[in-house]
Amino acid sequence: MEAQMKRGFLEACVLAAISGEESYGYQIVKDVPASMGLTESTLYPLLKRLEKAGCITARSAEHNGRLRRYYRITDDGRARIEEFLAEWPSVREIYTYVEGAHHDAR
Amino acid sequence: MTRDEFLGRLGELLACLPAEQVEETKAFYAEAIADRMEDGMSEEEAVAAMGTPGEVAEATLDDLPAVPRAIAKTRRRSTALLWVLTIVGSPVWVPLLLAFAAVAVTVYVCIWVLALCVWVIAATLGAVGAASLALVAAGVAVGHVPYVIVMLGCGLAFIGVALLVGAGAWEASKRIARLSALWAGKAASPFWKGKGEKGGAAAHLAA
Repeated sequence: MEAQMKRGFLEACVLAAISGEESYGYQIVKDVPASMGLTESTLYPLLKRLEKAGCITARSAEHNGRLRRYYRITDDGRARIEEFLAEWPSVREIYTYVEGAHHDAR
Repeated sequence: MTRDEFLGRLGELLACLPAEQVEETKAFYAEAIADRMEDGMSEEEAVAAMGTPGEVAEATLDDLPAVPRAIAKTRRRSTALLWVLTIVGSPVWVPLLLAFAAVAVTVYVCIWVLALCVWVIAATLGAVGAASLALVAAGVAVGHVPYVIVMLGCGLAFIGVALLVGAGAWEASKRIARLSALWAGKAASPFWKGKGEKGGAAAHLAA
């Protein structure tokens, strides 16, 4: 997948993963579709970026005698998901065009 | 590799970052390893799932703005190399940095001078208005009624226009202040990142 596009998809996936209840790093990695190939080393900078942009908030809470960081989506984060979803019609249009042209050519 | 070895190595590789940021990064990976072990993985497997400390450090540093990233990456290879490059490269980067700063300062000063001009015009109009009102007092002293009326009218008109221009100047100054904060953020972006990173998913998709 092209890098920029993947970045956008990953961002939307991570926001979606915490859009319900708050979640933590490993849970997000497990929740996001495996085809995205999300790992901790991709997730960490992404979470930092989203937090800086005000799309998510983070808090530390105790779990089994250690601290775990929980992430929660903000209204700005939800707005970003909506922005992402609003892209779909144009993405589908491009997809249909490419598919059609490819089939016609064969 | 054990968890402690992994975190220790990661700490070394990120030593170029502020201590607090290093601790935060280490805490994130420590948590991820602990969560995987809780999920039934062995320590070895959990650590391996993170990737090598080098990859993890690379991913963390990649998110830095251009200049600190270049410095961090060079320093990671060798501190000596960083110093050699800094010193050998100084005939290039010092003048460039100075020129960059000079242009930024000049542009900044110019726009504020423009705003200052509007303020000066407003102040001048106000002063003329005040002088006319002072002449009204003189007119009253002499007892010349038409003169008093004309001067009063002029004075009030000038003060009114001064207030209008002053309001405009105030508005312009506020805008310039906002704009210059924006530009300062842009100019500084190769060095550090501001808060207002916008665009997001849609922008990435569109790009």
